[in-house]
Amino acid sequence: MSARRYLSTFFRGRRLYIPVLLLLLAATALGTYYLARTQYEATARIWVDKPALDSVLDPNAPSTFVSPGQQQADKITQLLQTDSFVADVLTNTTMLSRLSNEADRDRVIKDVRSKLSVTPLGTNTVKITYAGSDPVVCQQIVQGTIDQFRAWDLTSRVEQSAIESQFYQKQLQIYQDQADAAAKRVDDFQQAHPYPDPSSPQYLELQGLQRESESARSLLNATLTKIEQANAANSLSDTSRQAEFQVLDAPAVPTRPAATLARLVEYIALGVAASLAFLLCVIAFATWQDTTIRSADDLQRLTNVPLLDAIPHLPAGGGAGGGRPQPAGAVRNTQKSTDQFDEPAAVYPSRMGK
Amino acid sequence: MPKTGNTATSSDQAKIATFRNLYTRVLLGLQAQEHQVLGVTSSIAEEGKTTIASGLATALAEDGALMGFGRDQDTGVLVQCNVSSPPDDPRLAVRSGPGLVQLIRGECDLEAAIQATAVERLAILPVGDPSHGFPMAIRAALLPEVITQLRSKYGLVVLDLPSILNSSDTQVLARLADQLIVVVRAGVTPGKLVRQALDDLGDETILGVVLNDSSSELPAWLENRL
Repeated sequence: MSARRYLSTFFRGRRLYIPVLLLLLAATALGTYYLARTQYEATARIWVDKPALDSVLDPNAPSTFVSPGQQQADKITQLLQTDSFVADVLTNTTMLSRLSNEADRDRVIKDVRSKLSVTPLGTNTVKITYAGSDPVVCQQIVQGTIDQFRAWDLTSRVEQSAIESQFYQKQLQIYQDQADAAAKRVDDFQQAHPYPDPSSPQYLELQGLQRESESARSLLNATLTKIEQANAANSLSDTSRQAEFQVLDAPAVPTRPAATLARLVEYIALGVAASLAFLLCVIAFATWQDTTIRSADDLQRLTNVPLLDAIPHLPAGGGAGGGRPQPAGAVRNTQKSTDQFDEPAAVYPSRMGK
Repeated sequence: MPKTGNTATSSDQAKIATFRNLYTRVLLGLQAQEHQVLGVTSSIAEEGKTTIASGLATALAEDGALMGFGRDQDTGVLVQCNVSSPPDDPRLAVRSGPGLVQLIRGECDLEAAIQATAVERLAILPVGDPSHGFPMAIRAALLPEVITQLRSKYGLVVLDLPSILNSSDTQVLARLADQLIVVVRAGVTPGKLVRQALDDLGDETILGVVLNDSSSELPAWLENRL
């Protein structure tokens, strides 16, 4: 079916389609206004820094630079993708009761997740925003997100340093044994060969044993340092977190509805797109339903019988000399509306008067 | 002879102009095949076949076009074979009296049945009183003879036929025509019915199709771009 046919359907029914489109657009505007009036937004801004002990604890960390803001925002975003974290966030909110219902749980978590946004504002600042219809819940969820992230981060750090400490403790014993063994070998050799001649092979062997002993001792010392650092991280983590994670703007209960321009544009764009899509579907359906012959093209598609002429619809009410008949040759340039087709074959104005 | 109208008004002139293109193509088609009897029909009712038949006959009679297309007679006749819709042009109004039905039944002769019209060079053979059994009458053996007489007296015989799919009468009457025009009303007739009607008639007798009530719904600026 040609584009002309679809366009004809639209222009033929424009007195219906255009008001319907306008109604849909008006509904979109009303909906946007309603949403804008009932949308509250709570926001928190957080200063984040690179953990002070990171470079000490993990000197082999990749050197590619990711800003602390981006790093922390990524972490929070990833945590929000887990149901358990979102459920923990909701623990201290009035929405907690809704989690007890298993049927609602997934929907509530999904809903909260879709309304929470975490974005880095700069290299060291992260913004956490929640938009919803209840201003108190908005504040509670943002605060809950901060609290839960803090708790999770602290726990994970403590656990990490404990694991590190345990690992190095085990290594320490091995290195201690190695160092002791190396020292014993040196002592034994010196007792067997006291004061060897520097030009003798015994002297060279003693030197080798001494180097081994020193190497084992260095390894032991390095491990001891690691254990001390891990213990330091454990004791410092709470205080260091204070500096690494500072809430600059604490989330407050919003007092006025807030709708960002971007969100309004999003709603309006969605509404306009949906309205136009609906109209296009209606036009496509109406065109598909219309099996009547409307043009020479339709006839040509149907049959090889030649089209002799296309006689235009002549306007009614002309009377003798009053009408403005249009020549058949001009038929393709005439504009007619559907309501002019209600009289069959009304070429003669006299018929229209009947 | 009734004279219900006077000279052609400017409105009539415009209608003639509208139909001039059509009758020219029709006459060229008929001339090429030396045909003289033209039937005008449609798939279903209310497609404007009477309007097209009478408009065509009126326009070519007003223009005196028959002689120009090699006919011996410059007069045409419009034969009403469609009982349901007489022509609306006041100049083609007929008085009550005998018509085609009575003529076929032998109740009158051709001269008594044919009436002159207010249009110069155009006569009309009204259907007559259809209560006398139009379907039986047109199936009588006398009908072809009537058409033969009309052929000898008129340069062009235009048969205003009933619609094809509504009546089997059309199949009978269509055989009397040398060529047929099928009227299709834009936006009304489903393509399926048009196809069915054309199949029923057979492509060889169809001179062409006339699209009635045709108009573009597109605005001029868009129409010019497509």
